[in-house]
Amino acid sequence: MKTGRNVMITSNLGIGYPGKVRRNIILQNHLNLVLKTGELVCLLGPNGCGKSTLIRTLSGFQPPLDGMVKIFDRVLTEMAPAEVSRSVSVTLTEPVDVGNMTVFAVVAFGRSPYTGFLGKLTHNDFEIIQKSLENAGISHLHNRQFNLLSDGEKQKVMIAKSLAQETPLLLLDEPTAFLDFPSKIEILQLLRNAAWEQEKAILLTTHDLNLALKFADKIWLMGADMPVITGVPEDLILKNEFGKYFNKEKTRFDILSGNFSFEVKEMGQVVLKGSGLKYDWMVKALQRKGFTVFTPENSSSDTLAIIKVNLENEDVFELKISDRVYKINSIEELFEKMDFSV
Amino acid sequence: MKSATTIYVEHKKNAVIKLFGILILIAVFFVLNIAWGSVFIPFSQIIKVLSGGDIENVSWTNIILNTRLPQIITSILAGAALGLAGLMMQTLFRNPLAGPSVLGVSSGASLGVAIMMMFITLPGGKFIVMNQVFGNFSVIFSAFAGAFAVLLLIGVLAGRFKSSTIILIIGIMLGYAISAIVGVLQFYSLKEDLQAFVIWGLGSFANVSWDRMGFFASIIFMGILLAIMLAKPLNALLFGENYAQNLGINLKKSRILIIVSTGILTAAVTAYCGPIAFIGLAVPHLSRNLFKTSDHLINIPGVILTGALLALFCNLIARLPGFDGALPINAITSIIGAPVVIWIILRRNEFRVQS
Repeated sequence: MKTGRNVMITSNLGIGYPGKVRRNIILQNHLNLVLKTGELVCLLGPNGCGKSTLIRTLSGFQPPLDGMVKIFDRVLTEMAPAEVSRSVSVTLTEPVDVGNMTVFAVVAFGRSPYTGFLGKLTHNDFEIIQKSLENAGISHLHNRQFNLLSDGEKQKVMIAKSLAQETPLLLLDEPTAFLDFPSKIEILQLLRNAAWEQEKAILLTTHDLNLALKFADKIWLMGADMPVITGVPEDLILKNEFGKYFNKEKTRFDILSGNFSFEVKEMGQVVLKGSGLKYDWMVKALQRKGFTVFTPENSSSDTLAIIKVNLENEDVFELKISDRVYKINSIEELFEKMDFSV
Repeated sequence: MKSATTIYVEHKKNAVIKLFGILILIAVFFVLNIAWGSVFIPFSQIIKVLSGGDIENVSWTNIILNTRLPQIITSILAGAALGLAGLMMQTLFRNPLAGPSVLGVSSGASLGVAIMMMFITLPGGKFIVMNQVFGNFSVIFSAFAGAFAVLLLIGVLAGRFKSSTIILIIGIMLGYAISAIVGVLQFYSLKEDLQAFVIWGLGSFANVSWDRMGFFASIIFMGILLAIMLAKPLNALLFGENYAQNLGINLKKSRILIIVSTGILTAAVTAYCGPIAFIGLAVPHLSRNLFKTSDHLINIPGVILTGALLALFCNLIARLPGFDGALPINAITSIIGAPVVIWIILRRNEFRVQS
């Protein structure tokens, strides 16, 4: 794997909103960030910490309060609108309503930075548009009305428009918000392909931590009143950075699973015997309900129940509560029995 | 199988064919407008007069060349201008109910006319005679003065605010405020002046004489030319202002030019024909619906031709033989325009309650 070239560098960047008279509302300060070609970067952080503001600042929609953004050694604020449009493409969270227009026509507008003043498309433009449709996996939708598409399809069209814009840098503000799970994965896959195969530098904000950990080449963690830290997902997990940025009173980042766990009322201890897939899911179910699960070897005396995952009989769990034994078919039934008995 | 590009290009070609269709309809209505009126003139005679020949009935030649022809050309220019102004406003403000009047330009024109008609008494008495309300130089001048005063104000504001919505709100509020001032002027004015003003407010295509046509037409052509040059920024604005900026559009400059172009078109039509209602609002909807696209490269010629056609149609209705002379054009445009807008909205499935 080769290392990418620097596409965008921020030096001592301060982002936020200019305030009345003196006081600026500063969301983040002293940002020194680098985006490289061939890299998919996920920007994570709680609401209100400045993720969208960073995207807006890097897009040139609002000026930096301090420091500067450079794209290939050119200062963003000094670039002409046409030059910016050939360097950075943006996909925003705001819903797009273009009225009556086919998908092909929408993607074709990605060529605007390159066309003449009437927007006439050349043979080369048409090829790029078709290629972008293909890369976004929406070639079959080309003649459909944009407004009648699902949210996930619309998002793909906007990404295809970005690809047609042929910019080295792609910025996306929450491209996976409001989508169903398979669509989220499709979007991230297509973005990762764009980064890896077409050598794009891609920065996206998201709240889907699990997906970010699976897809991102790098993660930027942002928090209110905390410096932005960057790194490969697994490094950040091992340094327990996620805990620092996301732990609230009732949630904990579990360093083993790379997942959040939620505090629940302590229900007591149970002993679980067995192994296999059913065993694993039984552990999860019991933990979700607030039970502490022990193996027979390290159980203590105040065990509420003993549950055996039956290996011989495929459908049956065995529940033993105060010397009575029940044969049980599902986890739902098990919980009902335990509620009744405990 | 056809490629995606081929299908896209075919859509555009279909649109051009439709544009030619409308052009033919315009020609048909052009002839109908010449033939029809208080006097019916046979087709063969029209051809003769238009081709420069002489016919037995000299008064017909006079009617065709000095009454009906300038009126038709005025209708075509005004319809095209208003349609275009409405399209630009609906796109800029992303609002299907926007029209040429939302900037307050036509209100400004009416204020100018109201002040002139009701306030200024020249030595030798009032010089507005009832049948001379339109085409009167002082009326045209004061309408332009009022319209451009408002346009200047809006133009300055457009450069200062980031959001177009603020300009929309200011334009509409300005319109209300000016209407109130006009109301006060009306309250204190003489009966004859008031009647002249009311007649001006009802609009007419009939009063641009040949000697004024040159100036009227050149202003409209200027506005149309500017609008054509704005096709690309207008298209980008369909995506919203942020996306437009990201597509390389200079937002501030585009916005000011769109406002100037709309202002010029609206000011000219209002000055020469009075405040014409509804055409500016209805025509963009008609065009988008007909061409099934919101692409401005198609809709700019689309609204120019549809606007011209609708204005010709309204002009014809207003002068139908039974109506003896002419109905006020504003009555016709509103009576036709309102059902058109309702029909278009009802046709769109997305607005219907599912049953």
